[in-house]
Amino acid sequence: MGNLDGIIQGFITFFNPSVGIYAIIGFIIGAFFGAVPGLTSVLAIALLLPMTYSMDIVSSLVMCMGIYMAGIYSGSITATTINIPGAPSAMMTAIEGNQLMKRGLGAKALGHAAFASMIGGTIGTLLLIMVSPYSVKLALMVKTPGKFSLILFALIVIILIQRKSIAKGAIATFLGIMFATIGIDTMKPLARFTFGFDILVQGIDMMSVIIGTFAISELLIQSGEIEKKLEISKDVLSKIRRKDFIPTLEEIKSIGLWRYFKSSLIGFFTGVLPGAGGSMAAFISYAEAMRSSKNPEEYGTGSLEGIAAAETANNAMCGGAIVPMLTFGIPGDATTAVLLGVLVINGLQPGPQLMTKQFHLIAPMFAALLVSALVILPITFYLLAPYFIKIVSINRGILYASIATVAIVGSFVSTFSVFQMAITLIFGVIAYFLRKQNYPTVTLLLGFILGPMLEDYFRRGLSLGHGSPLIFFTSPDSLFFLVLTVIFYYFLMIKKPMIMKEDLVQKKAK
Amino acid sequence: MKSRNIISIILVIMFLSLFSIASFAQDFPTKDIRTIVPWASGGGTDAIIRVISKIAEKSIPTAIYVENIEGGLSGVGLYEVMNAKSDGYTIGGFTYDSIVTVPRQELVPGYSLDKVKMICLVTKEAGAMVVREDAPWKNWEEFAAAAKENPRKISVGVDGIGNAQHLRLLKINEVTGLEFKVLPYPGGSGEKKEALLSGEADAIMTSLGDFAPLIHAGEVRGLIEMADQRNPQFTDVPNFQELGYEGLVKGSFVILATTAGTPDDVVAKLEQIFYDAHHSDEFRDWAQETGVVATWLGTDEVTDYAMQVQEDEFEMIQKLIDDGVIEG
Repeated sequence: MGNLDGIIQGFITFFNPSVGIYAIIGFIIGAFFGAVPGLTSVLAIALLLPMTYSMDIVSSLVMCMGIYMAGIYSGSITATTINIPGAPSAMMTAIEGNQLMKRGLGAKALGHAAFASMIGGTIGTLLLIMVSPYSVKLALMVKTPGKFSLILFALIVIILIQRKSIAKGAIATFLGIMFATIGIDTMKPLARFTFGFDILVQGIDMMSVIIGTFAISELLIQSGEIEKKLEISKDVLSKIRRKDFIPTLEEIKSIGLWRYFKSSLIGFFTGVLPGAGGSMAAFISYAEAMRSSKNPEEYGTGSLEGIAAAETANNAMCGGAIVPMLTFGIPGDATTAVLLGVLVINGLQPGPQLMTKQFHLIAPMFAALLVSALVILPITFYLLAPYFIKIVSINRGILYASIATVAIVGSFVSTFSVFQMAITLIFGVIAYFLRKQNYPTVTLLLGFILGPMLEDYFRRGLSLGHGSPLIFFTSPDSLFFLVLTVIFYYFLMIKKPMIMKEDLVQKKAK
Repeated sequence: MKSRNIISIILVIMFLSLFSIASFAQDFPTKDIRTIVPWASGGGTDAIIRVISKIAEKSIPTAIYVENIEGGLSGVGLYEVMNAKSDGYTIGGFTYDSIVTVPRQELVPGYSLDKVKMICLVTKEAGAMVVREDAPWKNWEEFAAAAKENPRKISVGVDGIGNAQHLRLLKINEVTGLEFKVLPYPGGSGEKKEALLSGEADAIMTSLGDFAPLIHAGEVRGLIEMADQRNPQFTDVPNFQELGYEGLVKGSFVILATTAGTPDDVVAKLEQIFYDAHHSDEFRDWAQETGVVATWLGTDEVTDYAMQVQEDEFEMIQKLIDDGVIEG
């Protein structure tokens, strides 16, 4: 994509202070929207849409890149410190990060999340600059049947990695899929599953589910434990220094450079594949890390490796998702869909011509993405990290109540619907009871996000195969993901328990 | 004493309200105008409405701001326009689905076009069929011949079953006697582009504007347009009318409307504001660059046009249901 000369010109434009400053402004806005549950980077760019019209296009694209990179990264902050992912792509980080936080290792968890985001964001952007024409061709090989099997793969694997509660994981996943079917049929203009309530025609918004299952249910759970003392004493908190946030060389070595690179590749290609997005990237990379890990028993109890895999992948996704949007006008995820709007409103039509004739407008955008990941991210983290961790020393009643308030307002801003605000509260209560009974809410959310795609691809796949489901076995792309599902089943369900048992036997023998 | 106070307050309020009604139309607008786009931000309709309202905003003292309220195939957001105050400060963007699909399927209870006053139509785009540049068919005749030889073998992507593009395809089937394999892509034009480029779909029902960058880049070719005259931006794409087919002039549009009961002079003022924006060079240039076809229908014509479209489509849908082609 583009020539080297164009890229260099892009960097020169970017380092003009009047342009570069927008990346920093964008990064700060994005970090705030990403970290606060209920506000997302998609919303930030959507709210910015009217402004981009009066700004010059290069600056507004640069700003959007800052928002994009920061929004994906900063979801990990609240995920780790208070167990509420600020963005859906930080779901997996919450599982591991918050466990570490409870053990007083929050600084380490945050540090690794930031480091992994930096690596992922950088590699993702470099791949965007270097290999995008080829990666689009690769992505176009995955057609509807293949996408169906990919989604099926993700849903099966998320159930499998629940280990102790596979049945409950499955139930929660199906609940998520079922909630997502309420509203208008994905293929036909017909209302379904409204149970006689006319208002349910508008369906259940994803924002309401995310905020309900994470923010509101966490508030309810915390209110039940308000008597409990802080997990981390103030002494420990005050002793945390800036250097505690920096990952040590040994830790990075034990995670392994190959793991960072592999996670970046997974994230990048999940991004290039239209429809999948950041939560899917983080999840697949997390599952792959767990499959190939030497210490699979650490997963779920605070694994740095798990954090690294998830955070590398979701930031590498940014670079990937931009590829099909710029080359063909096909957005890779929700944020790039709004970004497409920024381009169109400013009179730019994404497509092969944009990459050749108007490359001088696009190149600074690449520079902004790279600098956001490689420079702005670590600097802001280094400066602000001690404050992130102190969030937990705020009175929890006030902290969680104000988060819930902001989150509910956030669900209104993204839908302008009072009904969706009510749904948020209802989901909070449902999720509270599910969590009390040890049903995993992450699988519920993943079921909700991926369910409509699963249905869409399945029904279109059947149309392609003239009504025969055999098409899912005869298409090579689909077969690939089905085989992958079997491989993961073998590793997670048959091989891993065997290794763990052997370990146990050996320990007993000693 | 007390009652006198109350009476005087009431008098003041009455006086003020009289004053405000009287000064209404001349001063309109005195506050910001809320524009509801019933589709996601970043989409085609969103872009058209945002651009024209940004230009229109320059000619008035207040702002025109856009809210994206999705859901119910545009019905949920437009329902807000229907229930707003009749003062012209809430307007909405109506598309094919808002005029045909939502009322026909009764997707949103209480939704009725009687509750809105249409201001103007700003864009109109003919339906079209596109194929890949390297497709074996060079023109419509070859394509039709291949489809005749292999009925239900050539696949055509539409937006959803029973939606606008699908109905257009069914109309083509009816007039030409051809049959295709129908693939639904409800996720918008991005999904359709992907399907065409990856080879999953042989052809796509769309508008030429939606595929403009790919057509200009030589990746995609416009096969035929459902219009009665050639598209000024794609003069080499023929239309059904010139090939001798009857009744194949169909397309999508964006209509701006406000709440019913809005005083006529306020509607006239809104029409004027958008007329000026629509006829500005800025809007024309933007439309030219992005492949949007700017068309103008004023307040006098727009309602009749929309109602005619609704009547024709309802009739056609009913016929398709009676013939058992689609389900009710």
